[in-house]
Amino acid sequence: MKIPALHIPLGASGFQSLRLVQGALVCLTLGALVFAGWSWMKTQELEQAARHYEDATARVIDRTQAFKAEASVAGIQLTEERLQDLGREVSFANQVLAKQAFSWTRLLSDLEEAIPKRVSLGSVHLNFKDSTITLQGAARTLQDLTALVNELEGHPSFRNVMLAQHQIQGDSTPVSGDGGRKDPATIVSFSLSAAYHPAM
Amino acid sequence: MTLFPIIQPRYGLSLSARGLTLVDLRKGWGSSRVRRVWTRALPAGLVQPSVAARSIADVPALGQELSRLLGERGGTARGLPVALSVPDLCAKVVLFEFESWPHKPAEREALLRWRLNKECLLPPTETTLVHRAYRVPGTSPGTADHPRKPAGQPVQVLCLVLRKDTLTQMEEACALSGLLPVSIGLHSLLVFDLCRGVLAKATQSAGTSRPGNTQTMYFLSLAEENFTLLALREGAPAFCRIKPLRRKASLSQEVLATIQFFNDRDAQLRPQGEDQLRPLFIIGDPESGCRGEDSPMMPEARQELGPVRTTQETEADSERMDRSGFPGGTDSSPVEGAAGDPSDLQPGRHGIGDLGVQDQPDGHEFLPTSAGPAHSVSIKYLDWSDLKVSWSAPIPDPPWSALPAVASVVAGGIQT
Repeated sequence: MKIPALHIPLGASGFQSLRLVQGALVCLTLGALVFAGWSWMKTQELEQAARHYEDATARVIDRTQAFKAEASVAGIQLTEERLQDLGREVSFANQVLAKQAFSWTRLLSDLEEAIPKRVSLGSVHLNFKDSTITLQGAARTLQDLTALVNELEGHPSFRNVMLAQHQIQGDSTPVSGDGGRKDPATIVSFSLSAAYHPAM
Repeated sequence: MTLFPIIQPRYGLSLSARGLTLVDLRKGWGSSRVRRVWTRALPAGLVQPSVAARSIADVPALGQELSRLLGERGGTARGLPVALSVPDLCAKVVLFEFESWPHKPAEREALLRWRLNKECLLPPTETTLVHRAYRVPGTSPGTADHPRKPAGQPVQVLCLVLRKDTLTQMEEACALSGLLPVSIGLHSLLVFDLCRGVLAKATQSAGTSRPGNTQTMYFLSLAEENFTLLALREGAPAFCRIKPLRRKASLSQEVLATIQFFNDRDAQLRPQGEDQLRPLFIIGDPESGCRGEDSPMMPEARQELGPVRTTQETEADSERMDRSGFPGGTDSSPVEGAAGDPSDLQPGRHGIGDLGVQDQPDGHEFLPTSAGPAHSVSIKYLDWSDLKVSWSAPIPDPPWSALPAVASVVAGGIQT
């Protein structure tokens, strides 16, 4: 015969729920503790790496101090102002070097390859600082100007071609056409810039 | 601060009119070990278990007594989870049978309260009502409380009613002393659940050897101020009566009358009942109601449940147990005659006593009933050793007063 249980709980019925909540909180706490331990271990690793970098930094600082001392003994100033001037001087020196190394012949040869017929150049200005050229000239028609831009874009030595301005100007001299008819001629004056990087 | 306050209690506390008992118990695999027991006598009138009136006269005073008891234990008791055992006389236990049992808990409680009101069993105050339903023997298996069980099948409902303020008072007293009662139960029901294992084993082996003989069984729990008789039929409670030990009343006669009442009612309700041997398991202090000089039960109970018809456990006893299936082997052996020497008394090894039974030629004890078929009763006193409860070395003579506290930890606890 199966013996039934007769005990009927008289107390509050929420203890089992509280126990479950408590169990969940215990798990949460244990999880937090494990995470804290893992974080502490990671922190130790990071601190070790940081200590390595700090040591390296300290060594660099020491060497810098020693270098400064040697430079001071040699009569070279290594102050902040001097370093800023030094940067400008280096930049100037680089520009001078670039000017000396620049081949105008190459540039003109490249331009000759890129410029179509019925386009004339009035001036070529070269900016060594940002390696750009500025062309000013005149084209017979807008189609000729467009052809110039396209040719420059297609050339391997020129990039970022930008038409700065153009102006259509009339010409008082009549131009004879095929049928002997004389049409008034126009020219398109323009100014454009392009980055110039000579192909090696 | 307690880190994890809500845990299964290790401490059991029982409350009675005479005193407080606190046990420290460790549950193991299949057995329990009582480590320590602390008892403290209470002033007369401080606790008077009753359904009709408040059971505790002075809650702060009880809280102080609890604090003193915990002081003997040592250490801090703040937030200590404890399983509390409430005296039987604080509650009214009733069994109802319903043809159909509603699904909704609110409807169930309303139905029970209506029935209790109808039968004038509710005390005229706010009450706590708890219940547990069982299938009526012969219906489909499964617990009646199970949601899958369809409504409309008859169920037997064990209903427990007690004053709400009684529970509140007990919880307040515990709170004053720093205890956290995570589990509260009634003495006898807890003790019964504590004995379930041994009862099942005994009835199982008896059923093997004597088919059909374990349809009905009795369980008698003896407490300090009352006794509780439970009858079970085919795995469901069939009868429950809590009776206070009255002055100038014979305990054995009270028990006999109660069994007889059940038999008479049972015979009317189920006249087809067969003649059978019904086991009666008795647990508790054989000198129940005998403590205290002014207790009128003392001489009578000692005569009636004490030094009478004792049997010594012998190898023959064990053989009889094997034959009968019941530990104690009372089924087919005539009960010994009344023992003249009190030194023969051994707790838990008493015979039938003078429960009004008559020896029959076949050796069974016969309990006469006024209606229906006759029934024989075999009696077995349960001992601590039967309950698989062991005691630590400092406790040479385990007190029965600790039984409810032990049961509250083993059979109570936080319900899962």
